[in-house]
Amino acid sequence: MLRRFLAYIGRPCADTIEGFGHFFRFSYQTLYWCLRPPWRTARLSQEMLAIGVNSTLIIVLVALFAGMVFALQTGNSFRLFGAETLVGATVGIALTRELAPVFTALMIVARAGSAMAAEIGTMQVTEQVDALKALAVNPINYLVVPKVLATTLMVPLLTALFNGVGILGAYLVAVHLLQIPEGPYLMRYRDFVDTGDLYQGLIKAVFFGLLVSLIACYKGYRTRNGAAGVGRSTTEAVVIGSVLVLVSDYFLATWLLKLFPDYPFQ
Amino acid sequence: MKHDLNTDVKIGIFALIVIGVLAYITLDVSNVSLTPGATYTVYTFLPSAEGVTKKTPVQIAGIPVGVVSSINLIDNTRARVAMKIKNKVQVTEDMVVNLRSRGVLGDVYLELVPGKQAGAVLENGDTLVNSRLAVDYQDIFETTADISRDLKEITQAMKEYTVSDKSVVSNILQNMEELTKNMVNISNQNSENMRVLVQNLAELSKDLRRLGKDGGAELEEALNRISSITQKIEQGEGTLGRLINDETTIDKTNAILSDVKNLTEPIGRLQLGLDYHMEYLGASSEYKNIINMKFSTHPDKYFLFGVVHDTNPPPSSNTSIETFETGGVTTVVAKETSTFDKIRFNAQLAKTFSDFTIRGGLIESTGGAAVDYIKGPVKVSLQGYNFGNAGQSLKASANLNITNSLYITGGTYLFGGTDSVSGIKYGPDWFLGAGIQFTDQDFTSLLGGAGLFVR
Amino acid sequence: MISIQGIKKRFGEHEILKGVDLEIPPNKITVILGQSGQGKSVLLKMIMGLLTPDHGNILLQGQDLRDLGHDDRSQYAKKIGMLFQNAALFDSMNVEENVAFPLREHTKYSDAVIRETLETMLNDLGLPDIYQKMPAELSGGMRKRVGLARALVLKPEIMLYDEPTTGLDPILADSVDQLILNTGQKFGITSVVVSHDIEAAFKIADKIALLHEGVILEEGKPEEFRKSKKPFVQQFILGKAGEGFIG
Repeated sequence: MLRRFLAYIGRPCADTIEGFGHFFRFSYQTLYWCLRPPWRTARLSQEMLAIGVNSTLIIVLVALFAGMVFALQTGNSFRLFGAETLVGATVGIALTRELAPVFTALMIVARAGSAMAAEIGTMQVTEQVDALKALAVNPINYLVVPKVLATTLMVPLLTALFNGVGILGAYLVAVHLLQIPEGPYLMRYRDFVDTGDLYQGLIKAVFFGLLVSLIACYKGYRTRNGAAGVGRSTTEAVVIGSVLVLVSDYFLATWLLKLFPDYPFQ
Repeated sequence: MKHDLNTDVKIGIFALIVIGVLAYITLDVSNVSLTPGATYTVYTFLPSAEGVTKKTPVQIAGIPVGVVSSINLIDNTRARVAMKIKNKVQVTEDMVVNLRSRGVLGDVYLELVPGKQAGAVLENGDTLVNSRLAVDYQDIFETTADISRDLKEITQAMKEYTVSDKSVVSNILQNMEELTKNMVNISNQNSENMRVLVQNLAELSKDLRRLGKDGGAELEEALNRISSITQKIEQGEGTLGRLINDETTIDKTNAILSDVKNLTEPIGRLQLGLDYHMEYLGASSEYKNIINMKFSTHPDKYFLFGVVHDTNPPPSSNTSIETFETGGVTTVVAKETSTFDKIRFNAQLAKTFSDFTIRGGLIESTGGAAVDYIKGPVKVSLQGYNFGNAGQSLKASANLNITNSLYITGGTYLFGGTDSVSGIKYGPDWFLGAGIQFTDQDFTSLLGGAGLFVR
Repeated sequence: MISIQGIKKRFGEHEILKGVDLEIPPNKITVILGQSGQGKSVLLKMIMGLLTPDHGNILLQGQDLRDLGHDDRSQYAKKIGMLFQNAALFDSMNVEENVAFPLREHTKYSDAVIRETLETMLNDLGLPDIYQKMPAELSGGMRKRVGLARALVLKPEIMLYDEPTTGLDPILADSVDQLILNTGQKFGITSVVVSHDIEAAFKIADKIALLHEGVILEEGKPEEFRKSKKPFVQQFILGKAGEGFIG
């Protein structure tokens, strides 16, 4: 009856609502299996290595150049009205609050999210997921939980790394290339950047990690129709993951600004 | 899948590095020496804690010694500010708390200024009783806002008189209003010059208000001391007066005023001056507002177009006049021709010879001529107009007035003078007033937010 | 052993199974025949518990699958082994890890015991010395045997085979058939084979059932099945494409 009513409204609408339902059921199952044995520490280690540690190089590269180019652009612009010593503060706040968590999450979506969706998707279409079930192993518990946990743990860590490397990159460009005086640069940076900024970024990162890994695993898990289906799932995981990172960032930023109100320029 | 030790080692190294980075950044940006155990709290009261937030720096002699830890409203009147001060820094009871702001961003900080003799050292929880809001940008902003309110009231009042007839004046007044708005905006990006200007304007508007309020007796007395040099004559509406009231003329003037920019652009060398002043006529107790625009095409030549608004024109022939000038800038005249002509026009051609400027043309909608003498901040003008027609003798209808102007700054001035009038009821008059004038360079500077009124 | 009662299953618009009733006898090999796309694999996955029927019951030793709680279902799953159509080996693991996976998941055996069990199992299936190979390096027949090893390692009571000989050359297909036969006899296992290979069915089956258009059209011992009067059964046995199908 309900389904028929939804079908009347329109197939796409019904599919979307059904998709939401599936996703939240999937998320619930993931949470359920997070809290229930068996706890697969070896699998978790494996995923942490794959998702986190092996992303170090790319994160370092992206962070370094993001910090550098940001310092270069703001430095040249701020110099127009003599505020170039604020480059460190600007880059610091932007990185810790926004750029580091968002860029890290986007890199993880691109690198690990696509891999997760493809891996689980392939296992689904080649009956490996069924094989797990046939061997009395819950696939959510075995496949999804370690990936989601590892991503949720690793994105904040990578974000912290991004912060450090990005700030270093900005410092190198600002002080050595743009010849901005080091003392005022660092003073402004320390004046304006606050531990609250760092925590905001890290809280965001935890949420992003959870979100992108759940979406990627969900998309992989729902894969049908062979190799083409795997391709579609992978694409969807990356696209939806990226968009949701940016959209949820706005809402998170709004809430977190309420949580950390003692911002000097409120 | 065996538990690979290698995997865990890699993760461990990674996590250690990352946590190290995080710890470093955290310690770097948080003032480690300001951990709870290393500080004590001192309170103070401020009449206004505007701009003060948690973590607003507290300084002594420019060196950070602590931060603001909380702000509370006390008795619904004052702000109580708690300052966390480093233990090794001693705050003494003679210290004065100054709320200061720095930089164009206007972020504030609290400066503790030691008094003349050293007082007792304050303990945790004590209160510093002396505080003041330092005079700086914030004050300027407030004064500016007051003045702009005054100016707005003036223009608003003027607008009310003119709103019925959709004349040129109302357009100009709108422009004036916008100008004051712009001034407020620009003053927010303030500069030292602004501060000077603002103070001058404050005094000026104060004077103007006082003049309006309690002028009565004093002015009467002053009036008596002014000698009369007028002849009484009949007046009539001159041919020129009719011409200036002609619609075509009005339209033309309108076009010029409404689109000065279009006018100035094609004529590259053309310079524009704008003058606004208000005068109080002692005998007739009336106010006049005059706006003149000056177009200089050549260093020693200019055209002047202006509008005179008389709030309460005398029933018959009656006048008032004044003029003023800086290094050959602006001029104004005023006179009434018809019985209730609230709006009259100026249109003159001027030529400068050394310190003298000779002007001729329409003065308050009648024909006239004037001589200005300008030396330094002083200007003396002599002008005659309303020479009449229709067989009236020249002497009978003429207005002659003398104006002395003193420039306080480049752009603001006070003036006063005597005026011979023709009406029987209104004998010789005297007048006082104040004005403000700009050149197009001023506009450019204003709009650019750069140096203001620097001449 | 297994009793399938009135199973119906619909996928979107298509009703694949329209009321299937079938008894699987214990310790025998039952072959379910049918054309491609008739829902044979779906039926098998229902027995395995991977899919749930829309209507009807599946009883294992009198116990309804749907009444099982989570832990019981896990126990149930351990009683049943399944060989998937393409073996469904975990391609991130090598052969050794694949076959050892169920043991590591469900037993506390030491590495040595696991190793020993593996060796016995792989030798029995004629797969020596491929422990470190990845599934992608194996031939189709080897994959199936590794898959079988993985399914058998927990010593299930029931083995389900999904198209075990599809895609194999005749000789290899025959060897897989022998494997099924041997496995059944050696471990005393109840086997259910889903296939469209009529020759193999007659060779290994103790019971044959033909699934056609959502119902079991004919079932019985091989000799009874061969003598069926139903035209489609005869057509299927002879492997002819008819003018029209008669139910």
